[in-house]
Amino acid sequence: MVMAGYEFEGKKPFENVYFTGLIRDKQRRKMSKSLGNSPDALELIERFGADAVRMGLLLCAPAGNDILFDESQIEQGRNFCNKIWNAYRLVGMWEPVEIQARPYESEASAWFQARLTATLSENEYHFAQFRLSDALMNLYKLVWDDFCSVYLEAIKPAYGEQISKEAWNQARAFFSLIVRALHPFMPFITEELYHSLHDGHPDKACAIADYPEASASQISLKIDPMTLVSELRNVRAQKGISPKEKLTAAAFGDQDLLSAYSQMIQKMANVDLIWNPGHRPASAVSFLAGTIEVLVELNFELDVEAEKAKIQQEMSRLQGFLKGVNAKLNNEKFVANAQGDVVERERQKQQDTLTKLQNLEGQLKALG
Amino acid sequence: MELSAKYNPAEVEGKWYSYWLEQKMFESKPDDRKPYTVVIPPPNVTGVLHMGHMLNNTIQDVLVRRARMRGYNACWVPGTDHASIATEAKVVKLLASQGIQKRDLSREEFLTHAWEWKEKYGGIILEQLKKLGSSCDWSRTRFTMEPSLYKAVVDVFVDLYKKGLIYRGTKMVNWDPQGLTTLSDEEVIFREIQDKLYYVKYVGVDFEGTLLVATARPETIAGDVAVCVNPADERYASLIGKHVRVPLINREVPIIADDYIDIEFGTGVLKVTPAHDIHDYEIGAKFNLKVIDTLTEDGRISEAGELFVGMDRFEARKEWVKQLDANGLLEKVDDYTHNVGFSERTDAVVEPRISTQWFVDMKSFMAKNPEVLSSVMNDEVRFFPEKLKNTYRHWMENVRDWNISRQLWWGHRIPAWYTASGEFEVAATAEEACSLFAAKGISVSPSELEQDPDVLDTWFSSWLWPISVFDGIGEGADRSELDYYYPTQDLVTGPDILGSPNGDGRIRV
Repeated sequence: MVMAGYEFEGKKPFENVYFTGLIRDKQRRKMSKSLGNSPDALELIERFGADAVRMGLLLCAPAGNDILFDESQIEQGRNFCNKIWNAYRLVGMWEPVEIQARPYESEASAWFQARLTATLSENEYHFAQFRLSDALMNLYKLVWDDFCSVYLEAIKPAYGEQISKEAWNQARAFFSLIVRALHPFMPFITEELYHSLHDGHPDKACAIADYPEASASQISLKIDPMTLVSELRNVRAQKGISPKEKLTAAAFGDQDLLSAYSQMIQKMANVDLIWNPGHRPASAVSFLAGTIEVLVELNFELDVEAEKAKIQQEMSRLQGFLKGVNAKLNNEKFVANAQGDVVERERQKQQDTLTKLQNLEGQLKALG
Repeated sequence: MELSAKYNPAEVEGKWYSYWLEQKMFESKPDDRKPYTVVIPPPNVTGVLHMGHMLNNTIQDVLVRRARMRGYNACWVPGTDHASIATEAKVVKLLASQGIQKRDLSREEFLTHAWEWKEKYGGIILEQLKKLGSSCDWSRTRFTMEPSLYKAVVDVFVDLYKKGLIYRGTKMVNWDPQGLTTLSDEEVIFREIQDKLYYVKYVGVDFEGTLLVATARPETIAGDVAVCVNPADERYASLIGKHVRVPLINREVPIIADDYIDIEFGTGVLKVTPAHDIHDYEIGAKFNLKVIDTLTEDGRISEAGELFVGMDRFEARKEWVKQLDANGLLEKVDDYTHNVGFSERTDAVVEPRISTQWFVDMKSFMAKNPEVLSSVMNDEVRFFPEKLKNTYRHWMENVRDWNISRQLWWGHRIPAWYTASGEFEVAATAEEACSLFAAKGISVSPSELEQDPDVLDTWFSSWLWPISVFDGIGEGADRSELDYYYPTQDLVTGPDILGSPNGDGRIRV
């Protein structure tokens, strides 16, 4: 085609050539009729649905490498279809009321917006490099982790309460974006949901609707509030505290880093967060979320020695990490040749690690 | 809109695919938007959807759907190629099951059967692509043998012949003795075979003693025209230039020396049989040796083979071994494991065979079109992953002339016209050929001319695909579609098409 293009048109026939990998079975054997290791393509579609098959194939197809096909990846595709379906039905079951949006609803929306924007922008890069597998994995995580596990959980009305109309509309607006972002990968389920979102009469079908573009203004999460939430959940699990029992925690550090999400954090972790109080709680378990030190108050005696051992272990891990970062920054070749903001990021890591170590040092002292 | 409790793909998929088609959402016409064009690498018309197709077409669909949603005029052109050898093999098999042999049919009768087969069974794969959700513009579906694309191929052949880029020549090709056609390198499948290596005595003519030659193909001994040693091999240095007798045939042949010979293999002495081995053919050409073709096109011993004439090549091998042994000319037999090429379609052992065929002169083609290589190397055409650029370069730099003729009926018939005395002209029609003959002072009428019986390699039509699907080939073509859609955006294809260094010019990109 390149030959004919130049000979007969004097022009290349195409801009890009994308070479897929060869599909092999789990044992790395080439698929062939005689080996009987080649699944019946149409039968897979019948069993799992076309969207699941497409997704399963793409998930195991990193650009240009051989593809080790495993039916479980198609099952993963089917599970993902069910996940989206159920999430959509969940939102549909909520009955919104005309009240002002609750702070935690707005905070969760802002949080998801940031995740969505970041994902779309990363995906533009992946698409430019034909990394469809990475782009799809990104969307998969966005939907499964960020949208379903965090965002929908965060805005889910408490028992006996109702979601505000504004938050509900926002959730559906996000759904519309997600469905459109996924459409090229999973055209059928997305068309179905897109029509349903618009009561069967969208302006345009999903197939020709606008693809969500990454906006220029990126909202960056300096500290992801969800790291704080998951740390707090860890504390509960470790100390055997029921999720229903409200925690009280003291947070030391720059409150501005997290103030935009304080209600969301409180709701998701069932915690009262007190910023920079004058004194440190006596019996408390502590952790770091980014550069913020958090002390969770306990209403029982703490095993001081175990707590100290844990802190020391963390400190020695951080010291090891710091050593690696320092070695890189002391390597003149690395500093001279590193691309873009790589050096800057290494310096940031160095700074953050030092802050964390300082905090841990303080905690250790406080425990006596 | 009510949704069912559980996602049921079967309910949803058919509904929306019909909807998209009814609303003509995948159809594209030139307008003032930017085009995003993808031509499907045409699958065989005989093909059925397999995992490779599913991956490949899912990727194309993701790219095309995303482009469509981003406001491009997305155009994905589907179609199939006629798969000359695969289709012909299937039709022959079907006819055989009805008790009809191809040789009992005229060309026209056979082609009628082939078209019937194509209409009935061909193109299933396109229907299967719909199940996958492929957003092709089905109103643009093309087939490499439909009339206008047929004409494009003929025009291109004539054009390249006029430019001196196509020639008719006698060369060694891959020959399928069962399918009775040449094969591309790609259609030859190599398998490891447990074989025997025979150590045969060649008696000296002008020196005392014998030379021991190891060969896996004693049935071709009658075609020997020399024996060859490595010039650096001290064992034989004093014999170079002397002569031996070909066993059982008793022809005197020279002992020659060439670097190609592997001192370690067998006894370090190779029999040179230019008609039946590509390396022997090259050595023969270098030393200006005779070519004695001892096999017929269907793999039997020919008259020139002298012994066991008419016997199948593998039977003849046994007979040769027996006779050599009976005459005390067989020293020993070793077990020998080596790779043997089989025809992808008939599974017959492929013979290297010297034959008169049509070729694309790759050296001249590449000299005229250096961009074919440079565009890829300088990323004018971008390869993903990039590492395959090197494979491509290696391929292009070591390419052999491309054998484009096939001894088949299903395909584009070569537009060369022969007089009764064997002169030929290349032209789209017999009438045009007549005027070319007339210009040379040969007066013939169209009915006196015989068209070349062979057809063209399938890739000789598929390589035009990104141009031909927009009807841009040939003088006076309406270029409006081509000017809008060409160059296309992405080609999505498997990596195996770049797999054969020292290949035969079918650069399938």
